[in-house]
Amino acid sequence: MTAVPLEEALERRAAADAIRSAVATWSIVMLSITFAIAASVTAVAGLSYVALALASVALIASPCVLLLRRVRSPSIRLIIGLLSVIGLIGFVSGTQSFNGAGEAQPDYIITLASAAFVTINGSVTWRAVPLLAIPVLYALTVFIPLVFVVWPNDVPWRFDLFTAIAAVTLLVVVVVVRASRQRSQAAFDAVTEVRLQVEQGAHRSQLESRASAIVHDTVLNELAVLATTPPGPLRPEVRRQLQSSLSHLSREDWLLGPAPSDEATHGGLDDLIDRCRARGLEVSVSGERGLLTALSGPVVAELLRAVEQCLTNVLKHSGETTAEVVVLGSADEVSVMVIDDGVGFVEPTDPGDRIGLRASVKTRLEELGGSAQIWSTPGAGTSVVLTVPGEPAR
Amino acid sequence: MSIPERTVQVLSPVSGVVAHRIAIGGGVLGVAAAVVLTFQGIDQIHSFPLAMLGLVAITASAVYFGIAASPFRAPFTRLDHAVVASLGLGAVALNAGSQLGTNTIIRDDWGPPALALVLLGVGIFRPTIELIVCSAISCTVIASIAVLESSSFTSRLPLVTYALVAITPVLAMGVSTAVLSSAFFRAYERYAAIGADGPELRAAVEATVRERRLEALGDEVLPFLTSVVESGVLTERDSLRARRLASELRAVTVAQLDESWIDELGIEVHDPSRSAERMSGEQRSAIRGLVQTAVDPDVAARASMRLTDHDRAIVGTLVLERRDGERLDRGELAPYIAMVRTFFPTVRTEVRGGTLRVIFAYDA
Repeated sequence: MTAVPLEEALERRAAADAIRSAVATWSIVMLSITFAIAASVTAVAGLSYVALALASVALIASPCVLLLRRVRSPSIRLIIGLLSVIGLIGFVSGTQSFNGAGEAQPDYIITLASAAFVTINGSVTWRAVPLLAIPVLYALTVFIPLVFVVWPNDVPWRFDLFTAIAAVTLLVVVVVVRASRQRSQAAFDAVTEVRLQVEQGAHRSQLESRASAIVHDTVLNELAVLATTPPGPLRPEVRRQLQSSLSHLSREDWLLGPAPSDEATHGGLDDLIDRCRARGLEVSVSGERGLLTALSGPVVAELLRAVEQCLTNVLKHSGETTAEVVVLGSADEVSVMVIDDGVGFVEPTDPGDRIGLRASVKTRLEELGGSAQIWSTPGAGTSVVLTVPGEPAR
Repeated sequence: MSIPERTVQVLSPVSGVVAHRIAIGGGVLGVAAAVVLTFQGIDQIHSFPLAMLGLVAITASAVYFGIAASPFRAPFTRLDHAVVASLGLGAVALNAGSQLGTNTIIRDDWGPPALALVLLGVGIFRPTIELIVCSAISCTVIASIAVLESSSFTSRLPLVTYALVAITPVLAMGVSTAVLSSAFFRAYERYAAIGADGPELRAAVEATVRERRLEALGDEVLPFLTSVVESGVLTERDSLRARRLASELRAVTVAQLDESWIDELGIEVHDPSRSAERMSGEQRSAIRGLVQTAVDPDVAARASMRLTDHDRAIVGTLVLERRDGERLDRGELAPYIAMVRTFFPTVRTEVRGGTLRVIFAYDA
């Protein structure tokens, strides 16, 4: 479970980074609109671009640096915070000469600047002084115009609802996030843990299927051979096969390493047919054998192993001594049909009856992204179609 | 099956739960701002019915968002977004209509700031592009309304100034929520790419499976086969033993093949077609999370799931019930309810007291 804390941290950090970016963007948009409005009313209001530009940089750009660059030094944070306050004072002072152009006047520009000031500085400081930061910042946006505009010029003070809304909104967001934090962290942990369990479960299930196929193809097959072999000295090929299976299972990588088929058992379709013939089953092959060469080595090996299991089933269960293998397909998929005219079967009620088909054929093909379909009627033979996806041309 | 949209809510259901609370807070603030500003600027209103309709529209927008953004109704769709934004824009238009010809100052109009507040939490629920398009449409409508109203303003400024003043809240909120959505999404994609299941964990799972299988074979089967190979001779007793071992091993292998992820949950399951295996990873996560959260191991609880295989779909019914009479914790269940609603194409959930019933369907 060592990976969990890292992933939780990533997820939480993702949330924090995204909120920072959004607040910075909000403030930058506000600043841009402030400039645009200032530009549109300059002729009327006589505002100073230079003063506004300097004030804007101090007011917005410096806290943006704090937000986006994760400055940790308290003294640098304090200096940048003071710069931002000076920026707001500059904004207010730079517009005080305005003498009444009516709508969209400098007090609206001050409003935008104030709202941006509260939002961005509130986002930077709320962790340090929770809940207190935003009211203090809002108080500054009220106090600074009072000191620099209202009292010196003896103009009426006007309640700035827009900045108040920005401050209250930020406060609500902070309160909700703080109230949800502990619980949402626990929920993050729980969801991460559940997803981890599911991923592990899927991986384990895949490995169990593979292990079942290997156990079936090695130990179970050998036990079945021994159970039907007459007492006496072991035939050399039986002994060799037993040694091969034991040797495979004694390897450290028996589960994920090359299958025993890759080592000695399978040399290709011709070898497979020869082995079946040696066991008493005559197999005829038709169709486009060349399609198999377009598949990668491991895919061919797994596919042929599934075919061999089907032919083994023909030999064991069908009562026939002949079978037909047909290779067909397209660029998208390759199919191998194994057909016999034997006794056929109905879907087994005891799943143990057809374990070879399940463990060694179906799961094997499913792991390759393919499928196995079976058509069988008692007395009318069996057809099994094994399909694997075609591989893109290199 | 339809593919879930690429939104933060889909990737991180917990974010959706927090954003739902922010959506409710934003809605309350938006409606409050609208009411306060309506009374503050009452001298500019010439049509009170339109003003009242405007308040009703912004309230409807906020209420709809609060309901539709609930994890119990997840996912929040494009249609939901369109309804919220349309009601909000309708409110802006009604607010402007109630003052048409008598509006003297644009910046005290409540329409744009109230709409921006209502849409405060939308960034988590919708894709970035849609948020940008919605903001662009909203800004165009709001700017046009401002220009239409400009003849009654007391000031004489370039029209663009009025448009800028009017669109400020919605533009700032729209762009920042789009940035929020994009930044969240990119971060979560990086998170997903890293994957929760690292190489160390994969190796641990591999070792467990390997050891488990060898343990099953090691007691008798492998020593028996080794002894036969070493002696080079097969006795009748060996043949009988091989038959018995083959039978036992076949039974064990079948049992192992029959194991399902759903068995690990320790609930009563009726799944004759092994349909649980056909659920996707996200669907499994949602069901597993729900079960694990609802069934507190310290509390006696009953849980059951029934999966029925139909022609093209599998229908499931999951019932979780606390026996101690306590209510299920809806807050804890919320992320998983959102996941179930997002990742299953058809879902109905009911939480009543201590019982949760989830009926869902997915592709066969």
